[in-house]
Amino acid sequence: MSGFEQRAAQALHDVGLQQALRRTMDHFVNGRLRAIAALPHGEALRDHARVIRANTLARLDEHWLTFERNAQANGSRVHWARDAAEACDLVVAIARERGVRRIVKSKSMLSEEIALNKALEAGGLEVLETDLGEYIVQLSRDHPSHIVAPIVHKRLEDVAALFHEHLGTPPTADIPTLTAAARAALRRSFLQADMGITGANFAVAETGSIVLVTNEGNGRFVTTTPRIHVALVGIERVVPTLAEVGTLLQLLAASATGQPLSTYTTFITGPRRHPDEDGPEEVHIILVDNGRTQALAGDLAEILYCIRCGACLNVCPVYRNVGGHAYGAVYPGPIGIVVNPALDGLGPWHELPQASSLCGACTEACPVRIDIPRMLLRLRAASVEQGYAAGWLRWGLRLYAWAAVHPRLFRLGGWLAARAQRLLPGKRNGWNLWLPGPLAGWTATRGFPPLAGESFSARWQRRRGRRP
Amino acid sequence: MNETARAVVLERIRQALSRAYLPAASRLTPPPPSAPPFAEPLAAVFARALAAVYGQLHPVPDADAAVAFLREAWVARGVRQVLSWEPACLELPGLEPALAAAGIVLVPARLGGPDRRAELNRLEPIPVGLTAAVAGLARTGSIVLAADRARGRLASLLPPVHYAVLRTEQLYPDLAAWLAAPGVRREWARHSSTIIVTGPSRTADIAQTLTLGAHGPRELHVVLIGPSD
Repeated sequence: MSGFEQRAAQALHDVGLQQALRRTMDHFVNGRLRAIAALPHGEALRDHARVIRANTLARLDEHWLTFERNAQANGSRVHWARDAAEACDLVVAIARERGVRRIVKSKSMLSEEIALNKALEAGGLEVLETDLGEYIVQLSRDHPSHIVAPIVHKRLEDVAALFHEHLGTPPTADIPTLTAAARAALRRSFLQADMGITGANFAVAETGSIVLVTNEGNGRFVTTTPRIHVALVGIERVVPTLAEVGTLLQLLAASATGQPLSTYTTFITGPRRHPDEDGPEEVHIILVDNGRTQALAGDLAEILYCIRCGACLNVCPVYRNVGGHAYGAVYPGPIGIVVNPALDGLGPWHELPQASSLCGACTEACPVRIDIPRMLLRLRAASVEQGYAAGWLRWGLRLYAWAAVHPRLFRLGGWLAARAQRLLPGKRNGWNLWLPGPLAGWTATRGFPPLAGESFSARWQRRRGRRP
Repeated sequence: MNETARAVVLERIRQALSRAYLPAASRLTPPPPSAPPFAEPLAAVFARALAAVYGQLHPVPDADAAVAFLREAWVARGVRQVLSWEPACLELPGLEPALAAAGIVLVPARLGGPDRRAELNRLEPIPVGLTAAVAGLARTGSIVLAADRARGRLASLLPPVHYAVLRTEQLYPDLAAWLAAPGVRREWARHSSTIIVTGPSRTADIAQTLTLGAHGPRELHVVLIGPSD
């Protein structure tokens, strides 16, 4: 069994995880459907957002130059990083040069992608996650399993046990008690931190602002109380104008959590302008490539339209059953099985494009209608071309292709297979419950329909012969 | 700045764009679909939307009534200090003396001294924050706050209870209408931050159960000044 299959099998037998997924996935899906329906022209707005993302990427270099000029005019410092290591080094250097010891962070998938916390800790810096879910992930030395709800895999009792150990709350504490305990613990850290690190949901070129969306308010603390703010921004995040970011913000909130807008939509337009204003003294914006230009060059560029709402995870029949950890990657679910190989190449991720039934639920849920199945087919083809497919698949398909262009041989094969299936053990209502060799994977979890004794073309001939 | 990294990333983008397949791309981005106007007054739409996001609305006819309301609300809570924007930004004449008579002082939301931590620790116990929204967004029940020297971010963030004053003439149908309003884009760079607040701080991370007051205020009160209709 491959890594993904092994982890997926474990996930399917994890009772706690299955309970957590059952309870939450429909909740997210229904919230999104209600919120999109409540938007005036919600469907037309999605089409519009798709055009915004496409047209922005088409002039990506120009928009970043505009952003850079405006951000610098506002007093922000703009840095560029080619890869994860360069981005991490920049953050560590900024912290070291300014005598930073304590860092607070708000949730950022990009920081997970570049493994920033590890780099900061290696640099002798203390870093604390402040989004409640990410805080729990950090306390339990876990990984987020959903891009919007990081601890969707944990039950209340898991969190209560963790907080009992770390924060001294009663082992049977309820959710408000747990939230209050985390609020008190993190409040102290907000007031002591020297530096705040965030991601960015969007960067607005015409104003040089970055946009952060949070519900808890931790994103606001991280960008207000510490004297230095560092924002990590993937180079697909730019939006040309305020009007366009307005469209995307409404769709993001509706698709991610079913809200009309997230509680706090914060535009950061540089550091404080006056010595006794209460914002940070310095704002550093790090624009990170880390494989995005590789994704942009070709058939997978559309994956960069993504605004990271997580809606595709919630509707995916694979994600809904195995959860996020089975993917073994930073980005799980339908977005993950395209974006991980698009950023890093198929090498480490060649199994992931198989983790889909190509049902298209992701595209239907996506606020910008990204055609994920199309890209999965491209990736599957590429994994065959690059030799990642199983050997039997390769010669099996060749054999099939050869037979398919030789009608007599094809008919003979069909006739033989229909006869041979009678010899197979295990049948229910005529369905095959066991297939030999590499085909056993299919029948491990479901039946295979019986092959008809008479082929379609034979039947066609027969019926046409009867026609007047 | 690392000039090499900048040049390399920009060059990579240009190279990639020559090969990028970007479905739905067009020469010009068309205007967004425009929302139909509301049949009812914006204040009524705002009231309903604010309630839906767990905010509390307090309609008052004029600024004097707003001052009286705030004083009574805070006296009832036993408040002695309020973390606030500069009184000039609130446009509530007579607020300071009315509060002073009740033993309540406005503390400016600022951080200018040499010891940032000490100042934050001094401001942290203040039980209530006061701001004045620069706009209200009816459809979503949102208020828009700006940040500068006179409009401290901490007033809407640090205390567990946030009161914001809003005037009915500042209401816009929605986010798109406000962003398109004359002056918004022009004035943008004057503020180091612009914050759209839609309800009190919340989280649903634990077992997807909604809890108010995660890190920011757990109560949001909007004092809406304007004739009731």
